[in-house]
Amino acid sequence: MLLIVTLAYGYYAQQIPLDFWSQEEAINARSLPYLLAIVGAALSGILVILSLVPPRHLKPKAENLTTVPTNDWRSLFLILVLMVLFAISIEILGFILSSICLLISGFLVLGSRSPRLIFLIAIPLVLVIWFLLDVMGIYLAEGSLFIDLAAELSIPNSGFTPGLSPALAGREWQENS
Amino acid sequence: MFEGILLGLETVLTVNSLLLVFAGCAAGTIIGMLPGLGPISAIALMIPITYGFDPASGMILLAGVYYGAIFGGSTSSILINAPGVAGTVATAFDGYPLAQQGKAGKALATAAYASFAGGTLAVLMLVLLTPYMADLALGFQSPDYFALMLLGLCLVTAFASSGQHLKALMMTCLGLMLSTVGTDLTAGVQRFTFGQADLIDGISFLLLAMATFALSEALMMVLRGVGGNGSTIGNKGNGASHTNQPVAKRLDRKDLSLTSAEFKSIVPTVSRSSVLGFFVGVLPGAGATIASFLAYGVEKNLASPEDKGLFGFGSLKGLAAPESANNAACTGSFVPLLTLGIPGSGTTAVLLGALIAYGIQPGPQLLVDEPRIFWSVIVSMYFGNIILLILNLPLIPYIARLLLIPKVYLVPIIIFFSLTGVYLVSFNVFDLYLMIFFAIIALFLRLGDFPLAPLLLGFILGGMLEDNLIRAITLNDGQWHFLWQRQPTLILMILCALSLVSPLLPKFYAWVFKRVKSVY
Repeated sequence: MLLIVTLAYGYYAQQIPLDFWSQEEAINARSLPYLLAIVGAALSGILVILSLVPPRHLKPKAENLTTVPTNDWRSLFLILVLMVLFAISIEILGFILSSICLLISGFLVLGSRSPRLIFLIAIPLVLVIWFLLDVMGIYLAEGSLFIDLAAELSIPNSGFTPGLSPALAGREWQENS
Repeated sequence: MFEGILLGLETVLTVNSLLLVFAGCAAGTIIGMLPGLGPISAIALMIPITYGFDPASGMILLAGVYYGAIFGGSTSSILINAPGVAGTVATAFDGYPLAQQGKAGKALATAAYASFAGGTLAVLMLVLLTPYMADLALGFQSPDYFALMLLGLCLVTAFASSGQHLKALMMTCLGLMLSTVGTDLTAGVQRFTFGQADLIDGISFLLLAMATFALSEALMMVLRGVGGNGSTIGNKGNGASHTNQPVAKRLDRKDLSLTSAEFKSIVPTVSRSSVLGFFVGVLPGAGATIASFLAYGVEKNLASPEDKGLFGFGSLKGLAAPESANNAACTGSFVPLLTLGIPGSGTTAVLLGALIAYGIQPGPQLLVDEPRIFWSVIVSMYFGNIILLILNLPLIPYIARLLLIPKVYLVPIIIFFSLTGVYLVSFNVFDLYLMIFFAIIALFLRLGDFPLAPLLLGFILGGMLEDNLIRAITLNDGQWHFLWQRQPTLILMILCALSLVSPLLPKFYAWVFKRVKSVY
């Protein structure tokens, strides 16, 4: 796999655009990528060859045979899906809702069956973080879904931008107006 | 130097800075104690918070986190035999047997005193050594810097654990490749951006650090199964988890005391290990892990026959040696970072990334241009040690209960903090997708037993390495003779070559020995 990555890197290194003068220079934007592609390909090639050669003087240990770790691929896949869903939803549902959803569904996927604990951890944790961020002047915008809904219902939009606290946003609005 | 120390004291001895040291130590201890999360993850998780601070305050907080994380790692090593970081693996050799014998409090107190002594001695050595190193480094030119960075990368692979040298070299190469993504600063052309506007500025180091350490570690925990309580994390299947839980529960404050005889017995060990640990830490690529194992080995060899028999079964000397060495090595690793701008370890690589993000370029000029940052970091280390001792020691019985947090709750919280930390810096959803992608790659690399610290080191040094290479070649009319023209460059290049072949030397010696033996 690493060999493929380095070969692909080398291929794309050839696609780096160079102007006439850069092509004439001893070192340009392609030089280091070329060098890295060659070294990377050589190293991954050696690793592939070494992985094919059976190791000598290695006796199978009894403990190694009994302690083969069992991997929980299903939970891993579900957690990855939750992370992607969090990334999709953070701008739609907003920070608070998407974070609470991520935590609650994460706890459930990993096997927690105590609704009291799930809600007692997820909701206060997210609210505390949100409050701390607000105190530090980092405001996380409400999700686009709610902004659209507010527009549909003709509720005036706060007009806050992400990364700005309500106080700072207010000051900016005053200055602009 | 004294003006510098006074300047550092002036910066650190303010309520704000002391609170930052306190917060850093506390946060670092808590995060470092959670098995699987080491100082790299702890610092990466805290960096987004520091973006609103001035550079000196940010570095003070992060240095506190670093110390706290190492200290926290020792606690989990002693109490549940689950080292949070590789640097505290040797701590578990004697710390855990002591805890099993009902002397967990004594073990934790020994670790705290040894860490404090190691850290304090190392800070003194840092104060004495760093300005001279910085003066020496002021004479360095681009070719020397290029060779020095190359040496740093080579040493990381040379110090990789047995059988992992090639993998470490491959990871360094991969890190360097990732550093070439974005706009080339000399020609202004885009490289490997694939038309994505979000990649024009390159990959954020925080994103990569979070993905390869905090997030991939959390994913690894999920993959290995999260059944049972938090204390099972990182136990590597030794099946001792359930019996470990009471150790964390029943710990009492009155257990945390040492007799004067015990105290006296560890003083020479701590002194020797601190000096050894500091100088091992100064070497780029060596770090706390090698320092702690080396100190443990040295003390075992120096011990009297009856003491030697106790090593591995609950020796206080066996616990004090790696503890003082790893703390001293942490301080030592700041020498190349502050004087040469070269990170000596994965953790200092993340700190270097943070400094660059604050707009500060570490190196010999740091002492001249930003003496306040330089000295406040050093002075804050000393205060960090004091705070760790006077604050964490009485709090250990309570902090240790964190080890009982079930993984079912811990893992989603780590994932949440990692994703939020990266999103808060850029407010860009693309960064989240990229982070998830890198975390998956890092997970498979972990499964393939590839070390990830060299990747991060390669990534952070890549930009500077290329910059110095281009500058050196331009200054030498496109010729490569700069590699051997200057004496410092030549020496550094020879050291690079030696460090690359050093893993092969034992095999070579064995082969020669075998041949000689067969002839005679």
